[in-house]
Amino acid sequence: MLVLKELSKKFGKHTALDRVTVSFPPGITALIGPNGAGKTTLIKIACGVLLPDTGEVLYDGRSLSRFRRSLIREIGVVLENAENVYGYLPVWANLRFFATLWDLPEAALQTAQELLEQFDLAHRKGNPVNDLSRGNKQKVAVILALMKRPRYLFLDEPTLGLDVFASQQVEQLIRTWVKQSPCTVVLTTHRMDLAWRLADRFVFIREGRILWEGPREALRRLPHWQSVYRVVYRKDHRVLQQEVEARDLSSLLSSLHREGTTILEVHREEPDLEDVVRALLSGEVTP
Amino acid sequence: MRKILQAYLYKYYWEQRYYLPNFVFEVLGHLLFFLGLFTLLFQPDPTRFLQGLLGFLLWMISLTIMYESAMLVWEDSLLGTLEHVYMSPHPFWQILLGRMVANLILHTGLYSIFLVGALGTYRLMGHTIHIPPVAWPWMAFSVAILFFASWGMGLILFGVALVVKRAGSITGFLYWVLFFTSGALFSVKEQPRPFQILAWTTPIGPAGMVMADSLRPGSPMPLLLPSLLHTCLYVLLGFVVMHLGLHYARKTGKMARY
Repeated sequence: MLVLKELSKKFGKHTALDRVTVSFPPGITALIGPNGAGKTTLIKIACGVLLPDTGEVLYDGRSLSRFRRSLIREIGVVLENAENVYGYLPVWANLRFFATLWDLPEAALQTAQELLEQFDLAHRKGNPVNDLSRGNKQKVAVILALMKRPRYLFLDEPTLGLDVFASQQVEQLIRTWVKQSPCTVVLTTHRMDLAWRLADRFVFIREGRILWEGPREALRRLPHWQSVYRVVYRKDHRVLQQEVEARDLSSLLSSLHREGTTILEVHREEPDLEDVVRALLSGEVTP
Repeated sequence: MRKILQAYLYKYYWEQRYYLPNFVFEVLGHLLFFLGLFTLLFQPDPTRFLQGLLGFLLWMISLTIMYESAMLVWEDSLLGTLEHVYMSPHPFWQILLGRMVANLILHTGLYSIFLVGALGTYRLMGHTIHIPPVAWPWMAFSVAILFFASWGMGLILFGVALVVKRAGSITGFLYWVLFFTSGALFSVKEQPRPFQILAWTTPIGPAGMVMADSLRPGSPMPLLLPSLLHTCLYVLLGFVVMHLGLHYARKTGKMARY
């Protein structure tokens, strides 16, 4: 379990994180927030490449500041907007270089080879990374993080700029990976559909503060996560419709029944995560 | 440490497939510069030629050692790979040392081209190559202190570059300060006092002086202790500045942005 305790971080006058306390249990946690919310700062502090002003990072109770060198072996990361690898070197040379520098066992390269095959990149492993498309570069970055077989995996916008097919491949890989080798994954993304499909837990962050954290079932119980029922009926030779929340459905149906109205259809419409997140992050709704 | 060396040797091997011509022409440029200087400025004095040649080599080695450490910031920070390098379980000073040694091994081939070229041209000009008796322990000592003092300077440059983005701009100036204090052009001991003092502030000055003394076997070695202290000071200062620079970069997020 990864626990971030009372983390604060300022860049000049800008507060990136404000006494953030949050935990990430095994499984996939989606870290959701608008641009500048502090997601990348949080990930970089958790990886140890950035120092917090106050607070500490605990991996299974072990402090990152004290055990960085041993813990770093268990952490894999894909950083946002970074090349992550040397563009002028071939794909395989990059993987081999980092595997050696990070002191990984020989099996890591076997894992890398398998992942290259899964990503249809095996035939391009001799090409310089700069010759690859953006999507393929991102896949190489994901492979670089996964070949460590990390217990903690940080994916900062792993599908940024990817087309729908590449994005699907990354999504599928993450899903399969977590199933095969249980680990703690922290995923940041602006794609709510992806987050909803992958994550077991959600953490919402805005202006450096955690707004809400919890499992997806708890997210469904939030007051603004309500299914809406659309009732279509015929009245006075006209087809009308009305949207009501679950709690008002029975009263609407009984009143329509009393009026002798013909009810044509009742649809249950699931809420859109994007709308819920927008409401949550914009402050329209307080959790 | 072996792993780091292995990793960087592997990386440089691949880099050479792209950048070998750059290295070769860089060495050829240095060779022309050296030959031009010695043809224009000096009579073909074999002792002076040899001293100049070794001083020049020390200068080239010193530049390689220094810039290779600092290059990690200038190159990797721009590419966005420095954070991944930092995520190695090895202490950072070992990464810098391994990287530098790997680069030095690679450059050995290029220094050999320089040596063969310089000696060959000298011979073609009709001069005899006369190798005077050499005090080899002192020669080895001069190379050792050059290695560590230059590495210390490299760590300083690395630390400063993490804090001040444009630290690289002073390297052009540093190049020539080191050249004039290397003993390649004039023996440091023959230079005016301010230049001698300047030589003691550079990582190459004492090494150049010890190297010059090693070509005069039997001469006393009064520079042993001061040059050793000078080297230790450079390494110590290098470690302090490297750690401060890293701490600053990790505090401000400058490891990712250059």
